[in-house]
Amino acid sequence: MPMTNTVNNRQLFYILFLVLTTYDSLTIPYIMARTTGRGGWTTIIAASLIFALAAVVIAKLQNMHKGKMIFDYCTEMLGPVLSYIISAAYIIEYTLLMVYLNSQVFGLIQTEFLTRTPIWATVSLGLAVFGFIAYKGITNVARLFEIIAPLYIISSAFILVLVLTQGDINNVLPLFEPDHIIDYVSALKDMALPFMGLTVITVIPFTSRNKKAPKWAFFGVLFIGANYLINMESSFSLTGINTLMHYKTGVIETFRLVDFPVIERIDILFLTVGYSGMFMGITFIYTAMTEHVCRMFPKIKRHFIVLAIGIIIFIINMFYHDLRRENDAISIVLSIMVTFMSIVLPIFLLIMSKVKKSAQKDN
Amino acid sequence: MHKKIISMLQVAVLLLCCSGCWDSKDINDKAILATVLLDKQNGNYVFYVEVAHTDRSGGPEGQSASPEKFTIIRGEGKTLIEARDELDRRLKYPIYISAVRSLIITQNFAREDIAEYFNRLRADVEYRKKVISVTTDADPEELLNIFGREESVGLYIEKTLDQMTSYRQMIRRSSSIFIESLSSKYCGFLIPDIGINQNMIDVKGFSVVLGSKVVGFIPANEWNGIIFINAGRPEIEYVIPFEDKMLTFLISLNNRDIKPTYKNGIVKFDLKFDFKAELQYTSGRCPCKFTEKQFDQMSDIITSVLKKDIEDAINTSQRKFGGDYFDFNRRFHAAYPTQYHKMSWDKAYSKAEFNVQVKVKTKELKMFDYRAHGAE
Amino acid sequence: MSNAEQRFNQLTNYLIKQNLDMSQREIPFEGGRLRIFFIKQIIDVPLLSQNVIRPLINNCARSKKPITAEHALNRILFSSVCSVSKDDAAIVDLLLSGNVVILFSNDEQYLIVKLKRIEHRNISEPEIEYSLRGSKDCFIENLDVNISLIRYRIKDNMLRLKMIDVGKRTKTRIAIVYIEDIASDVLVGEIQKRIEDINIDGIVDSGEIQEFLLNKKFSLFPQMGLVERSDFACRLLLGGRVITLVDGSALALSAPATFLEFFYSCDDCYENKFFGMFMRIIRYISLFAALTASSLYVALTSFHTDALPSDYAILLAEMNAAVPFPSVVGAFLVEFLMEIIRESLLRVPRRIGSAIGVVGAIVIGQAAISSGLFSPLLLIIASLSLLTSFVVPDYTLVNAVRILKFILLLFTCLFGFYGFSIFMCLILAELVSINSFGLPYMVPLAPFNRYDFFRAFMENNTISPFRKKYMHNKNRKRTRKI
Repeated sequence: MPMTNTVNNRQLFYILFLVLTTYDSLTIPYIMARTTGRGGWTTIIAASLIFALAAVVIAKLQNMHKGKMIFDYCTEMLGPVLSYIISAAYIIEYTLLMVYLNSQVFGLIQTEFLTRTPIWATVSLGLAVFGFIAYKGITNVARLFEIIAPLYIISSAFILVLVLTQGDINNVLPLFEPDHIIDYVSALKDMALPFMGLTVITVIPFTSRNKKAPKWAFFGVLFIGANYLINMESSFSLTGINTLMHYKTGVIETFRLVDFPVIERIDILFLTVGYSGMFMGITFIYTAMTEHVCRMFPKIKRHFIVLAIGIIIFIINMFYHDLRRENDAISIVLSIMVTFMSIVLPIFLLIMSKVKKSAQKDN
Repeated sequence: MHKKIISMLQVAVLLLCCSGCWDSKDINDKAILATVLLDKQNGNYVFYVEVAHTDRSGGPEGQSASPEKFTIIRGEGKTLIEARDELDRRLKYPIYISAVRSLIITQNFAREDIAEYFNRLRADVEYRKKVISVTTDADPEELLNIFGREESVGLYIEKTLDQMTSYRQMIRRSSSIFIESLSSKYCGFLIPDIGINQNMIDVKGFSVVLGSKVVGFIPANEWNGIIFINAGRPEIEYVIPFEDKMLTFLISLNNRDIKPTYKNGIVKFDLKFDFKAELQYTSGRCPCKFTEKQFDQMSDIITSVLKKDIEDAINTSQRKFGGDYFDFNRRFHAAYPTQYHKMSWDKAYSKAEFNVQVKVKTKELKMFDYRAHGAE
Repeated sequence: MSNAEQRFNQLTNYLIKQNLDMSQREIPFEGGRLRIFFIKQIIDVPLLSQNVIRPLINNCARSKKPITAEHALNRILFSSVCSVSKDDAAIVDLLLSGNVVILFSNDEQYLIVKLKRIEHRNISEPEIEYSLRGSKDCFIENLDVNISLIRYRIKDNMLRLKMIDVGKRTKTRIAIVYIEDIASDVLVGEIQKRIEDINIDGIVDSGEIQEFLLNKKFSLFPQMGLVERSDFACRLLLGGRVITLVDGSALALSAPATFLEFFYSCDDCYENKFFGMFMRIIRYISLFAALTASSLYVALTSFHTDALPSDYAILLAEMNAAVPFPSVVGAFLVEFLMEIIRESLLRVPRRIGSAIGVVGAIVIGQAAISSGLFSPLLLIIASLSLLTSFVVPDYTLVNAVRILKFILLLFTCLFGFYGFSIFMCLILAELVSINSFGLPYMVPLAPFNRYDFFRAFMENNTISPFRKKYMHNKNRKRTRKI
């Protein structure tokens, strides 16, 4: 079983794109309609910049420890105990992420498209396939992203252009309301979930061909922000903000309103390609979890780890698959974890690495 | 041993999954609705649905024994749910609502509360969100049987509105726009109204919706101003008396600029319209030898006619109905969001001032010269 | 009796006891005798008489000295390929390989004369890789003829042939053909190693060799290309690939092979470049259609009917109204029927093939619809699926698609578009994880390579004078002034 784990910069960009936009590209109009209104673009741009810088930090950290993932260089820098704790924290984050995303994505499938299919059937099939793909290793998963991500980007761009041309600009205006500046700032806390998943970069060992990875990561996250922005504005223009305030997956509702000559409902087209993109996002998180656990327990065979993760996630998801829960504990915990694990911890590790490097130079 | 366990697990999952294609339902096992008509009779909700008759006898090659392609089913109840239940009990297949082309709401129903059904439409995941909504005061059964059930009424209405929109003579809006308006702070919009005229379906005008009910009606001969204010790039023909002739012009809107201002608590709108009037033909004998001066006179006449139409349309909304159904509120909100949130738009609109400026450039037909002087 | 005489008698008795249906001829000479052993079914008998027996008899009759193997080799025999040997153990193998062995009673050495002549068919038109414009000569079962077809096209002194015998009983000759200053040494070495590691009693076809050479044993997708035409084989050699010819097989193997290369045909380079591009795009779309047509039909008619415009939904419902099966069952039945037709057409005798075709068309086309067994649209979809599968030049890829089509149909029948997209992800995941002799299978798509990606659509020597980047050839530049 090939365990090669290298990716190139383009693959890194695609990984970031699909992991971060897994589900939140569908909910961003809903989030913005509820929290900021039409001026949400300011919040999105601000959040994109913050997380883009975080991505640069993580990419630089990986570049400083070529050929290693976070568990390896944490062991070197902080010792085995702390590295196990950090890895465990990442595993918990990824578990929560996967549970959350599975519940949202499969809940969406059940609500919108397969209303009578039991949730255990969709989840078990999905997890089986994700596990199979995760088993193949990061390089193979990254290659898969190189095929699916461009298809996803092209199809969503095509549909978004249709939406924009059929929308009404009056639904989007006014773009900025000075009275709501406080709302724009406070909505930043709701942007943690749309940018969750940045930490998956830490499981990818960088090589010499990843020298420009920080630049790719930076622009990748900005591109994701642009994607959210266009999603939001186009949804507002066609559907209207007052309707989107109530639709959690506003983008799907918007796609339903698009006039297209051959296909009555263009969100069905999105279902095939868009869902592949979402599944890839979940798959990479699964892969990241697998990599962490494999490093922590090198004696256990990979396929057992993949199977165990799949079964655990399935069991947790069976207890947690209600789409309509408000003030969800998991999403609150996730927001805090994402902020800490994506921003605070990598900065700390980068500083530690730089200190260690300069100490080594002095010696 | 481990591989055996994994294989058994995989087989178990597959077998469980194979236990049923839960969501599989063939298209021919559904009652496909083409039209939904909503009425209120004696205080009860009444549904009339036009169901496609797919079970036609005559074998698989489609030779039909009966020319009727649609069946009309009626359901009545004290609530919408009861009415729908009655419909379900009368159909041999489950209702398939994703193919509905038109939603017809009778004036009886619309004058009470139009919002309830639109909320129901919004909540139903399967309901086709692009469905066209119209109102009518015709008898529901007469309307739905107008083609002898050989053609879908809903499809006909949709296509009629589509062709009018494609000829730039209609504002076409799907139900999603009405839903958005009903969810907004201020609600006012126009729904096309249809009726029966000489045994044919006719678009008679617009029903005015303010709040959540229909409050009035604007006939087709008074809707030009509305079309010019709200339609995309409208084109309407006008017959203008000029000297001893009647001249037919195709008036098309080149540019429209609606700018709100707010001063001293008064809302003001400056509406600037830039039209192009293309002389199509005249009454009486030709040749016409119109001079430049005459063309200028024509422009003046057309300008005054168009300005009057637009001003009348706005006056009707302010004085007769007391409500904004032109979406001026959204334009005002875009320019003055803070002030908009603080005011009551109903009151502000009724006191709003409108300054309508119309510019018309008269043109001849591209390939025809009305200025030519005769050879003889 | 001398040792040589003793050995001569022992060997003669031993060979006779082998029951090889062997023929022999003894010719006495001064001071001894010689015995010619051969298996007449696999040697050129007229040449034997002309170039071996006749000169030997003439010489033996006239010569006053004893004749040795060396003397016969250098002075008597007319045959072009002769040698001497002392290895008694190899005599049987030599005889079975189409050689004539001449034993001398006064010499421990014996003479080997290569007079192999196997009956084989003439070079004919290709059956699998038929082309309008390209050459019509294709490989046959004779290895030497196949090598000659390559040699007359590539007259490069860097063209190398490594001959290996595989199979304990069949001793099948396998030729590894490559151009030394283009093909990667690692690739050639790997192929050679894998062939040499084959430990089996017999190989009769290139297909059996292929199974041993695969990177991934349990994969539906082919990892080596099949080559029937010699011009295509030469193009591949010039591109840095290695061709494996197997004696007794009319299909050669090319390695490495990537997924997109199964769509390439020689005609793409012979025809106008835009037409070549157009045909490639048609092939890519065709394979996708072959795989997904039935599944999309089931998804749209049974699960996501709201994607269809209303008029068409009503029309479809009318078409399916009289059909007793659900679309799910109908799709499986029709696809199964198509597979039966496809298999039967392979084996039906040619004389009655056209009649069977007409019967099949009438039975399936007209009768099935009239009787209401299947929906007309479903039959059209299934026929489209069948036809599009013939557009791809290499049928080994289509074989994989034929199986995957059923599994995809199953997933779609259970879960609609969700099952469809999940299974497509699975197929793609499998494709990206395959390596063909170290080369990622999905290159230049993944990992993406811009230069070779555009060449996946348009390949022409006038616009792309370099060999494919992902091949890691020793020499990327084709020799021409740029």
